[in-house]
Amino acid sequence: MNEMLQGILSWDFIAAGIRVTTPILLAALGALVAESAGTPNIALEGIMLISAFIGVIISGFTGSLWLAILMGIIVGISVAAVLAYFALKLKTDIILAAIALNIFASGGTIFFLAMLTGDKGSSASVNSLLIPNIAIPVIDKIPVLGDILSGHHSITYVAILLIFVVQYLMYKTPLGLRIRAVGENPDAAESVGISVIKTRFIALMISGFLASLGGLFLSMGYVSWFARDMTAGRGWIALAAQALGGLNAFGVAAGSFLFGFTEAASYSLQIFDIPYEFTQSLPFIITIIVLGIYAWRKVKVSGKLGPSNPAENISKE
Amino acid sequence: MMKSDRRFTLYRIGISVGIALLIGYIIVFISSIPSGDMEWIKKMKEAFNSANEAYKYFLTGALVKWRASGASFNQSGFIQWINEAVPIIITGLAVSIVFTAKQFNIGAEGQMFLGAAIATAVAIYFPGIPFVSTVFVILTAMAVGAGFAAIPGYMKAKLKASELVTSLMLNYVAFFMGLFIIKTFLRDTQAGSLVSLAFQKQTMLPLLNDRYQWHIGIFIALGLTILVWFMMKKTTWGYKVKMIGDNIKFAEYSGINSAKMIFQVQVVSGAVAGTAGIIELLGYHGRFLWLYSPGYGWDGIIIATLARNNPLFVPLAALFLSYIRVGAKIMGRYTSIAPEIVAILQAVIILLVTAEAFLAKWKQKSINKEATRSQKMTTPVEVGEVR
Amino acid sequence: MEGNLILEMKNIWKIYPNGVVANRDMNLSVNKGEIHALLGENGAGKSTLMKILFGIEQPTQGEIIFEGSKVDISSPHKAIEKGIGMVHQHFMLVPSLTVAENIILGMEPKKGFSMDMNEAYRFVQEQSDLFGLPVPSREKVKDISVGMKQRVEIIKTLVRGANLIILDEPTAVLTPQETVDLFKALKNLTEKGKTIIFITHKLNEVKEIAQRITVTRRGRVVGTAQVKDITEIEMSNMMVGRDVDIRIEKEPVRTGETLMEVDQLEFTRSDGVKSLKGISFSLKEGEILGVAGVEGNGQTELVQIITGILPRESGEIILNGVHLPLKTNPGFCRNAGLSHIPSDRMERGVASDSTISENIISDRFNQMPFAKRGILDWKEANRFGGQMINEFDIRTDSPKTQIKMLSGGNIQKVVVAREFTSHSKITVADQPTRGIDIAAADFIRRRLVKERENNLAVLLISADLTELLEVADRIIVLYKGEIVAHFKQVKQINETVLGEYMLGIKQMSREEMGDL
Repeated sequence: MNEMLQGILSWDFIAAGIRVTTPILLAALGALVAESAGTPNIALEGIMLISAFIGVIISGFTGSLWLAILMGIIVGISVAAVLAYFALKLKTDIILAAIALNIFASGGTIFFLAMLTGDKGSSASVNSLLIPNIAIPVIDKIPVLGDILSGHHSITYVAILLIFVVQYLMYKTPLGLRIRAVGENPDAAESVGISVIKTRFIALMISGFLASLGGLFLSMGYVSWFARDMTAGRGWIALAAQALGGLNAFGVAAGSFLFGFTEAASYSLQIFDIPYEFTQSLPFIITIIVLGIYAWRKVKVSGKLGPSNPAENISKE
Repeated sequence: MMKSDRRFTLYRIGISVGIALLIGYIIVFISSIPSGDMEWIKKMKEAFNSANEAYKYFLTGALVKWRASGASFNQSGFIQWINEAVPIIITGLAVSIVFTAKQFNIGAEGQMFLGAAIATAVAIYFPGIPFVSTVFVILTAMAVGAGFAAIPGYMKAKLKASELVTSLMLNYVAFFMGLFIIKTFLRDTQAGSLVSLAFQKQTMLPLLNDRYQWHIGIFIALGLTILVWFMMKKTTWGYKVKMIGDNIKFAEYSGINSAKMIFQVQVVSGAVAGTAGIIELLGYHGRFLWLYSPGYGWDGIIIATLARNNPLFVPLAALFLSYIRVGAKIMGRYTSIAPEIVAILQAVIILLVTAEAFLAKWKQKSINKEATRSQKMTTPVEVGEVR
Repeated sequence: MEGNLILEMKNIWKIYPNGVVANRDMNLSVNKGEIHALLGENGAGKSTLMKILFGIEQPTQGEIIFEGSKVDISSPHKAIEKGIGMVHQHFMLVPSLTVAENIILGMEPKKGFSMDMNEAYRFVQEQSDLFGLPVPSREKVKDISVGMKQRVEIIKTLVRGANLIILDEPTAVLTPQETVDLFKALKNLTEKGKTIIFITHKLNEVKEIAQRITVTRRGRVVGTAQVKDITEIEMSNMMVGRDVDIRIEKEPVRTGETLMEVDQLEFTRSDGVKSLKGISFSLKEGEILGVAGVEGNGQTELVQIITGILPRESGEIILNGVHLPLKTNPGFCRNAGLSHIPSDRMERGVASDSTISENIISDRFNQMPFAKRGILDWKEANRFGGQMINEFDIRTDSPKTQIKMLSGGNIQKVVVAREFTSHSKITVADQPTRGIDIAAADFIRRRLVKERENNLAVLLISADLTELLEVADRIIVLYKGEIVAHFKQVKQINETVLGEYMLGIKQMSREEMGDL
């Protein structure tokens, strides 16, 4: 037991936790923006996968790191735009459209991988590149603190920064106000001349951007390859993290860290003969329990839900 | 207006499939463009021929065996087509039940996987009595699926927790639990890969064709279809489900216990979904052999969507999907086109079929024409005039 | 005010994708600086016409000429640009944002990348002073009153430079006093050069405030007139093509047993507001008890508690001798012999994608003759549906029609048909004639009276004071969760008297109220 605790409370573990959290955090922030606009994006899983694929392919074929990152982002935003187009313009149910895109991502990446490289399943033959970690000068020299703060992956630093950026965007800028208005009462926004469709489009594209960063991290962060379905459900966990954190970036970040560290713990606990299936399902079980508690508390509080405002309920005739 | 509604839905499905097939063709064409030193025109011609060849296998391969000596009926393809439709008809039915109630429980995948895993134990150890033990195995799977679906059902009914997220999470839990059970208790240590021990021979489903193992699962699936259709359209239970899905406040106001129904509909759906996997194992494989979740649950969502949640259309949608999948696999065998192309087609079809606004303008124009034609013009009445 | 056209809508057609023709070749002309009333029953096309003017809908055919030039109003954004503003019947406000945030939404003052909220507050203050419409700019919209919300809506249009303001049934949610304030404000605005289009189907308001009217019926413009040249009867004739008799003959009331008893009913909302403070009354067979009150004074909670939708906090409710448990549900109340016509039929009264038959058997689908041992007899259900279509004069081809295809009045008739044939002894009718055409409303009121003649009891909650005064035998007034008045001789009072109690200006003592 002691050994287990020691294993968990080490810097290695914390570093692992941060590493695992990064893609979840990015996708979860994307989920936040999309949810705030009233258009939940459950295609984050697929977008991450596609961006991961694009990053590997582009860097492998062109040798350019920056081009790979750029293309990964552009494609991620584009896929989100496709989702937005179908859901907002062609009136597809946004959940079904997202499921369709996830299916497309899962099979399509394998198909195009095979078409471009002849490999089916992983990009072993492609020499793709790695996005580097960053050592922050000066800070990395500080004892103890330096180890904690410096040396993380560049995308991790970007992700942490984005927590603040997203919160600022949502609550201090006109775009954020409009996104929230559109999510809470689209008719109200429309009535003042705001294009609900345009605003939701933007929100979805932002979520696509964030998810694409998560995807690039997966295939070019600590490893440099692409494999079938390598997102392994992180896009779904991100949704759960957002559900926990609500429409607040810090809450969502907390949720993401919870999931990231739980998952990291599942790897550490393997050494102690705890079946990996148990530990792997732990984060999911925790989510369900937490969501249950969350919902239960909500029901208790609003048990005396009166009509929110009778005047609002006047029939439309 | 109802008749033209249905007609347009049919058109939309037809056109969506057509567009998907066209897109698939274009992708195949591009993949088939040879590299190297050749005139551009020659390249196009080669690609054209290759694409046609590939599509020939894709669209007809399930039924037709193309040989140098001529074409013949592809018996193994046909049987594969029917067999592969079975599990997804069942998950399609399961999903159509919950979707009718507007409950987005997407846990069919997990319910199916875990149901199959636990029912495997029964199939291995329960004495092999034809029919009796088969039924028992299937009932076990039903119970597991139902019980597992009860979790998101309960959480939604009592706690108002989103069934979308909970059922999603449970898919992963079911997967891990199922694998663990097979690995730890039911593993065939003599086999090369991770599979379970073999089922009792007598417990397996009877076969219609020994050579290619065409099992009677299709009849079970079709029987289930009729049963589900009857349940949804002709019983008071099905009526309640429909009302919950249409307007839950209305259902409650009418005296329907919505919490109970939300729970029940997910449990019933889970029971159906639970059987999808084990029936295939009982019919074809004879043991549990999945290392990855086979995806039948997700297919069920596609199929229920294509069938517009109508149980009678589920087998049609399933047979269609299964047909192009078998075709894709055969295409993959004879060409270098990866069968995953089907995923791309599936996505396109779903996107277009569920796009309410797709072709809506066309529909609107013809309605307009009708209305304007049948108008009688009246001039406004000035005040004081007697009408 | 003559020949000075600010707006001309010419030959407007609007056909919806489901085939419904909302506007047929409609023409409308409005002069600058006038208050122009757009009159018509619901389904008559006036709301749709204004939605087209404001860019929410696009006309299938026709043109709009605004301030002298032809315009294409493809979205509310465009309409606002042109100087057209609209105050909707359903408030278009974001509840969790403040008044100021709601007002500046879409035109946010900026400081770099962020919003300049100080400037926003200053601006809102300046504008509300300018137009004489004070509002609490820092409060969240979900926390302010209905009348205040409407003011916010009006300011929203003004700050965006509206010269033509469309008001869609604005007095539906206001007290008589708030209506007076509104009319004053509108007159003030016209003096400042603004033009108002006022959608309504209240004839008395038209007389009071409008200069000209346009009457619509069944999607067509029936006529246009100067208000001073036309009487209420003539306006009403144009709207329905016949004299609408709102006088209903009733036998004198003969009450019998007590069917419903409510004793010390209390309820506190989740936001802490106590919306019912010890309500007690009884309802006897053979009478219609009317409940008057401005929306938001407890009527909704009262109705929802009695009909089992909402659990009460404390107090007793006895329906036909059965005690309502604290944890209750609508099914229980129905079984106790209660039927309910809900105030929002689309929200709760019907399943819009289902057929008329499916809707009309919703409270008895598992009983004979519609079901035997869990199996439904659709033939019987359709037969019954057809019978109800005839008996209740529902305008449709077949009981298999999807209910969303019907007009509001006809949908309400389906609801009423179901509730009146449910063999209940008590009917709770909550705004039963809201938003429907006069003929349908008349039909429903007469049916209510008939129920009472059959020794049943009706609890009638209505915002239409004329309706209450004509139909009810007794009236109680709810104000801030309490009964503040009880009128046993309805013939002796009028709307003004009711209004005083509804606004809390007057209050009756326990003795004055007598036996409730």
